[in-house]
Amino acid sequence: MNSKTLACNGIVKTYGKKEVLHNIDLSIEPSKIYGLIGRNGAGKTTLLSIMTAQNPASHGTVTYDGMPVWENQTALDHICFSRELNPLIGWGSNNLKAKDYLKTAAIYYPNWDQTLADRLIKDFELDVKKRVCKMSKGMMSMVTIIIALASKADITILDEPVAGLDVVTRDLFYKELLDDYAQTGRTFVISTHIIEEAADLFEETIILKDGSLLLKENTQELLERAFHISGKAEDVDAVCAGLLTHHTENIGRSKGVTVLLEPGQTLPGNADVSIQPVSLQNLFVALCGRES
Amino acid sequence: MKPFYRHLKFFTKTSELYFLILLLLALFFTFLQTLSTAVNGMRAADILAGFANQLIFYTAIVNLVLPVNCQFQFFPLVLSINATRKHTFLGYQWGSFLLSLQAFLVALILNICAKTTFSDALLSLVPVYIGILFGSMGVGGLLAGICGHFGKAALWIMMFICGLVGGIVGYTSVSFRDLSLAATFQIVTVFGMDLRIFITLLLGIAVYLIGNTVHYLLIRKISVRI
Repeated sequence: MNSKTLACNGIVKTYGKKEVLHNIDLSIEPSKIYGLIGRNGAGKTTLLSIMTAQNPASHGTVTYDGMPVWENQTALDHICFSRELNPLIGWGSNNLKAKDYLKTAAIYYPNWDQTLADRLIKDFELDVKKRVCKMSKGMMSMVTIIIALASKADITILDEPVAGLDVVTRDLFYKELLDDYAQTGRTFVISTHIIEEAADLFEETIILKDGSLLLKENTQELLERAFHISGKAEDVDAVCAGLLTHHTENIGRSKGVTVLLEPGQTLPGNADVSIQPVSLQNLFVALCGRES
Repeated sequence: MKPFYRHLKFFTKTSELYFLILLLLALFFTFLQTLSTAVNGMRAADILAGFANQLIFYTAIVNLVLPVNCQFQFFPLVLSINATRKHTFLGYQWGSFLLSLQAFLVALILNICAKTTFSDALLSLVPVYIGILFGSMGVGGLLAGICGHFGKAALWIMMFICGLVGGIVGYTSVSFRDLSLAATFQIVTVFGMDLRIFITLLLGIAVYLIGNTVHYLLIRKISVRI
C-alpha cells in the first residue's frame, strides 16, 4: 500500500448563485477508514463527487499524490467512488442489467478482483440478471458495495452504502469491509446516515455542516472530549461556565447539555451533575441539530 | 490494461451489439421490400443493393440516436467508474466510427456483388455513403452535446434545430426545382465525381467535425448523474 494522500484545497461549489460548498480543505490519508457524516443537503455527495472528478469544482483543486485529479487517469486509477444509485431514475445507466454494470466496472478498474465480486454476488444472493432500475433500494446498494470492494482501489469511497439493506446484509457488509481493510490496508471513506452502527468502523470522523467542514478528527479522541451533562439547571450552568455547549435540553428545572471540550480542557470536578459519555450519533445531533 | 484500451474494449463491444441490431433491421426491411415487389419479379442483384442501402439508411438513423443514448446511458456509467471525459469521448468516437465502418464495408461489398463495378462504386457510392455516415454522426454528436448540457431544455432546442433544418432542406429543394438547377449539377464533376456527390461528401465531413467539436466542448465539464 502506498502512502499517497487525496487532498482538497479550497473547494467551493456553486449552483447558479447558491454556494453549496464553502472553501473546504480536507486531506484523506492512506490506510484509514473515514466516516463522512452530515445532514441531508450538507454537501456530502457533492464533495465526494468533486474529490473524484465526477463533478467540477467552482474553485479549488483536488490532488492525489500531488497530481490533479481532474481528467487525470493516472490519479483516477487509484480511486473508486461507488455512488448511491437513484431508484427514481429508470433510464440511462440504471437501465442496464446488474451483470453488465459489473462487467463494465471490471473493464475500467485496473485492480478489479473478479473472484471477490463473484463471491459477494453469491453471499448477497444478488440477481445480476435484473435491471438496476428494477431492483429494490437494498439490491442497488449491494451493486455499489460489490463495485467498491472488488475495485481494490487504494482510496475507496462509498456513498450511503447501507441504504435500504436489511440488518443481516449490513452486518455482512461491515464484516467484508473490515476483512478487506485488514488484508489490504486500503483507505475507505464512508458517507452514511446510519451513524450508530458504523461509528465503530470510523478511525476518523469528518462532519460537514451546511456546506462547511465542521471537524475532522480521530473518532476516539473526539468522543473522549464529548460529554452529556445533566442535572439541576443551576448546577449544569455552573459546570458548563466557560465551556462550549451544544444542544441544550430543558425539562422543568432540569437541564441537559452536550459539551465538546477543547483539546487539553477538563471538566470541573465535585459537581452535583450527571456526566455521561456521548455516542458519535448523539454528538452529531448535538453539533448539527437544532437547539430545543 | 492501458487506460484508453479500456474504452476501446468497452465501446467496441457496444458497437458490435448495435451493428448486429442494424443488420437485423436492414434484413427485416429488405425482406418486407422484397415481399412487396415480388409480384414484379425482383432480381437478386436488386435485393442485395436494396439491403446495402437499407443498411446505410438505418446506420444513419442509429448515428443520430446512438450519441444521445450514449450521453445518458454510457457516459454517466463510464465516468462514474473514474474514466476521464476526454477518453470517454474518444472511446465513443471509436465505437461510432467502427459501427459506421462495418456498415459501410458490408454495403460496399454488397453493391459490388450486386451490379456495380468497383470504379463506379468508388466514384458514386463511396462518397455518398461516407457523406451520409459522417453527416449523421455529426448531427447525432451535436444533439447529444445539447441534450447532455441543457437537459430538458434540449428538447426545445432540438425541435427548433429540426424545424430549421427541415425548413432549409424544403426551401432549397423547391428553389432548385423551380430554377431547374438540377440539370446543371448533373453535368458538373469534381475529381470525376458528380458535383452533388462531392458536396454531400464535403458537407458530411464538415458537419461531423463541427458537430463533434461542439459535443466535446459541451461535455468536457459535465457532472455525473446516475
